[in-house]
Amino acid sequence: MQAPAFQTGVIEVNQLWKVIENPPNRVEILRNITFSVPRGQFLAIMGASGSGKSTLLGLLAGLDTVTSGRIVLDKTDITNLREDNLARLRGRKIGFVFQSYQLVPTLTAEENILLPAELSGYQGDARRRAKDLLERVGLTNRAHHYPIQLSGGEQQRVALARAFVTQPPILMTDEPTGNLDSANGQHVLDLLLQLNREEETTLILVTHDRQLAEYADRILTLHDGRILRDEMAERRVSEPELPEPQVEA
Amino acid sequence: MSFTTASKIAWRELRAAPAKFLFVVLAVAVGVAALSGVKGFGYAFRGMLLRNAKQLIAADLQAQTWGNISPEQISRMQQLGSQYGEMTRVTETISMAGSGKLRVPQMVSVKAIDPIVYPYYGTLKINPDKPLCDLLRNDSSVVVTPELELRMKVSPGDTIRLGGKEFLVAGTILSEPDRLASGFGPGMRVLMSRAGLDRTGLIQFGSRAAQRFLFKLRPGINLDALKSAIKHSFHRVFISDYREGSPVVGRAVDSTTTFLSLVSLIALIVGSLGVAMAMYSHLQQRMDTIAVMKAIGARANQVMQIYLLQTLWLGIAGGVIGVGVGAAVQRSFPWLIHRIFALLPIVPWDWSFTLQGMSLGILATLLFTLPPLLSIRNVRPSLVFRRNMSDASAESRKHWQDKLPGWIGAALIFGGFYCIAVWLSRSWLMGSYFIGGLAASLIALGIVAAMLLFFMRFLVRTWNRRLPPSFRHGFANIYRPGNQARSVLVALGVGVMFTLTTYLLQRTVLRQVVSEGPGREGNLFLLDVRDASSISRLIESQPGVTSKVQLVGYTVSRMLSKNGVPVSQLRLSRERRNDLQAVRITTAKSLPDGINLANGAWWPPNCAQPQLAVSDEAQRDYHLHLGDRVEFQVAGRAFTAPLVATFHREQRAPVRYDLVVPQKALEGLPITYYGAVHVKPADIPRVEEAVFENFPTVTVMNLADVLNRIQEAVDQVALVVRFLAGFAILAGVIILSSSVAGTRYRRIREVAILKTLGATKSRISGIFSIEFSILGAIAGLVGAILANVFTRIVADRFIDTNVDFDWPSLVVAMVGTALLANLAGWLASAHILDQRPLEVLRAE
Ligand SMILES: Nc1ncnc2c1ncn2[C@@H]1O[C@H](COP(=O)(O)OP(=O)(O)O)[C@@H](O)[C@H]1O
Ligand SMILES: [Mg+2]
Repeated sequence: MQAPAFQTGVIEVNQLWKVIENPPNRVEILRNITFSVPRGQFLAIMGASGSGKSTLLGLLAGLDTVTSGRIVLDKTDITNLREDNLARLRGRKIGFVFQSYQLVPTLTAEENILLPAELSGYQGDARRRAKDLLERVGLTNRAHHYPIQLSGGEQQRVALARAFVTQPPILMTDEPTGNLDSANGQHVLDLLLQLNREEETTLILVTHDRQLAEYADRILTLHDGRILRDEMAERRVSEPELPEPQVEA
Repeated sequence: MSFTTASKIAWRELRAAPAKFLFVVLAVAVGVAALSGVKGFGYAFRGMLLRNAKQLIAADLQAQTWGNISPEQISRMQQLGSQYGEMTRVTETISMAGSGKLRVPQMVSVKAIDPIVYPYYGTLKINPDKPLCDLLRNDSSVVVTPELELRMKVSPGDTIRLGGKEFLVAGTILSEPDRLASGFGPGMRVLMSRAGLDRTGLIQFGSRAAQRFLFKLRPGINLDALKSAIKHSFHRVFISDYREGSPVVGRAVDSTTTFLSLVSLIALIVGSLGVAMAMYSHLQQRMDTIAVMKAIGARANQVMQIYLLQTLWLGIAGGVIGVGVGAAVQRSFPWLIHRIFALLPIVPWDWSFTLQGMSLGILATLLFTLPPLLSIRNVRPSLVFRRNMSDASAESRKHWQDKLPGWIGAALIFGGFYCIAVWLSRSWLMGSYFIGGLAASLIALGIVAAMLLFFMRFLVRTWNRRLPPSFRHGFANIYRPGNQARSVLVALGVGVMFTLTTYLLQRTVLRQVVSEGPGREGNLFLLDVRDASSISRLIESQPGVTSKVQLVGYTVSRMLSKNGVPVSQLRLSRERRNDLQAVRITTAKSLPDGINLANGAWWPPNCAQPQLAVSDEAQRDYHLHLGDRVEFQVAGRAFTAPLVATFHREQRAPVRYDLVVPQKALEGLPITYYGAVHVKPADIPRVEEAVFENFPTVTVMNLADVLNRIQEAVDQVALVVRFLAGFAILAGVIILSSSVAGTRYRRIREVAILKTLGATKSRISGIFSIEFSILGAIAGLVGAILANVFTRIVADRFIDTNVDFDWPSLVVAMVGTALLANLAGWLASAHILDQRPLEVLRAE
């Protein structure tokens, strides 16, 4: 399970292109992207709005098909996987947190958290884990509330718990604080980082917010679909204040 | 995903939009109700027939024949009777009857039985409650039905006259076990002993009478041996035994229920189309959730499970309600068809079709919901980023795979309903016609709907500012996303089409009967005439008779040989071969009206030489050539006739001439005549009286009565069909309501915005009314056009008549459907207009 860090990344992206062709229009959303993410790394993908961050994240999770290039996720080449196999893979390997929460409106908080476990046939005691996560995000007393009965911040905390329930090796988040005010955003971010640390997941955080990105081990900056910069935390001029030093596996 | 989670989500989604789904359930229920009502009634009737099989024929086995029977055949039956048990003969015919209180004779059914043994099974209930053999002790007493007593103004103790003889009415028949086996003759019935029937002189050679030989069998005998022995004794005989129920009645019930259940199937199809539409729009709204579930690891099948469950529940709910309502439909059925099946026995409620009706409802629902369900596969999980990432390259790569589910779905729907139609009609041909017609109308309606949407968009775009604002908004509403104008049009249109088609056909049939029916020949018909010349003389001397009496004579013969070759050695079609013992020969003096000479020459008017003219069909069937000599035998006398002419019968020839010989050539043989005469309506009763006075065995029918009878029957059938076709309209209306309810939220917002912009309530209701009216009017228009087309096809194919396009029906259908659409639309948008704009907009 514990692959040596930096040798083969838990995510390998090779010469990735995403082109949308709607004749006569041709939009190159992502151009020749190559990078590798080692296990346990906290990677921030940064860039202006429209630079292709969400598209890249979607491709990494197999939510969309690539135009060309290769994506290997935890030793599985996902570029040619079929839809259902992708879904299975996501269920086992990836936790997701979206900008707009994306809870299933007809399920209660607890049921939402349990859903990925059910979908992927999670082996452990999902109920216990859901209770535990609910407690860690401070929503034990909201377990049986429906999403519309929760505030935005609370919904996003439920989404956080849902993302971690199956103990996925990779967590992907797209502007997780984008819809929240700063206090709530900070709270969610703190929880995210804390859970990430405790669960030892590889974290991909998409954001247009430099301040948020500063928490990461590494920042990948996109511009017009290309990688503009790829900087490690050590080399960055202003060191962000991390809540705790990052421990590499 | 576990079943519980799937059902949890499915259930909570249903609960969140009860109004939307209630409509859907009702739409299915309507279809199931019609179908299970009709089928259930058919099943119940069938079951009743089987359970009471012995009572219904009053015997273990009956052999029925319609031709003349010889004394040898009767004694053969008696011999078989004593060999296998017991036998008794029942003879039934139609006759004129008169009473002292009513001078005009009435047509009645006459049934002769042996009062000592009849009936073997079941009981004949008579008032007074005395044994039948006491009441019919002599040959001059009868018992009659209450209907006869009422119409002829007689009661027990009075007398009626039959065949010129007086009979004492000895009692009233309250129930007759084998009434259904007697066919659907007049409800005025007379029951008498055989001696009584002989006294009337009604039955002679060539008379139209049915003979039923009833057998009561000893236990354990070989039914099949008896049956084949009977078959050998008659050239054409219809045998039924207690194992089969009443085959003739059963078949009549079957074909009626088959036809009606296909009509009901349309209601079901329209209803399940509604479910599919609702499911489709529901899935559109759940797109986000589906994408999220997929993003966090749900496979397409797991998501489909949720919506499959929903569909299933909706189908079941619709089925359960439908079966409940169907029970009511079934109960109202005897009332609806009481004129077709006079004296209908009490049919108990039968559960056997309940389950099938429900399954059909669920199956139909699932079939139609299949394409939207399969489209779940195509929901891209990348939707979680709140936009559609499907790009052209991805699409072209998955091109046929993406389209495949759609095609599979369409094929399954088509095949599924084809199978249902075949199953319901028990005929591949009928099923094909049904599905073909339905598919054609659906396609036509679909095309019109697409054109309408295109036209509305075009109108709004090009005329934009020149259109009055209410119209602009109303038009735009029609093509608003999620409005499902297309499906509403199709559903309503199909309903209108079927209702109107039955109406137009009903009118066509009646018009046909009136204009081209027997009316041309005269308005008073004569049957069973023996003495043609004296009756003609009598009638023509009556006041008010405005034409000569036209009589056609016929006799029934055995064909013996052709050019000396015995008929048994001729190569003939099965049908002609079966008829060799009873070949019908018509007589004619000169070339009759409505037939055209093809070859040879017709005989001179007074020709008494036996010779033969045949129709082109008969010439082909018997392989005849001019000059061929054909030998016949009539009532024991043989004669040979050379073929001198062949002819072609016009479609509308009043008599079905087939084999014709000179009238005088058959003189001395028993010839039966029938025909017609023109009489001024006011004088008809007097002429009827005179005929009855002098020729009591001649049956006289008045055109007005016949037309009334036909009209009653046609009206009755049409009422039932329209009743069921109405269910299809109802389903269409429900779909319209559900589509309006489905866009409720959008409408509320729109109303709020319009109100803040200063639109009055009446302006807004104008917009909605224009939308509903256009939908209704177009559906009515297309439905009416299709109905006219179908009526024309059916009339051309099956009724053999031309119908003109019925323009008024177009207007009525358009206005009627528009009104209906407004009603449905406004019911579904209740309270929308009353929303306060601020509340709505603040809730954003
Ligand atoms: N289906 C599509 N068709 C055309 N352009 C698209 C499509 N999807 C995304 N884009 C474009 O691709 C670019 C990148 O989008 P996105 O990945 O959402 O950027 P970000 O998340 O960085 O804001 C944007 O310019 C967007 O307009
Ligand atoms: Mg984005």
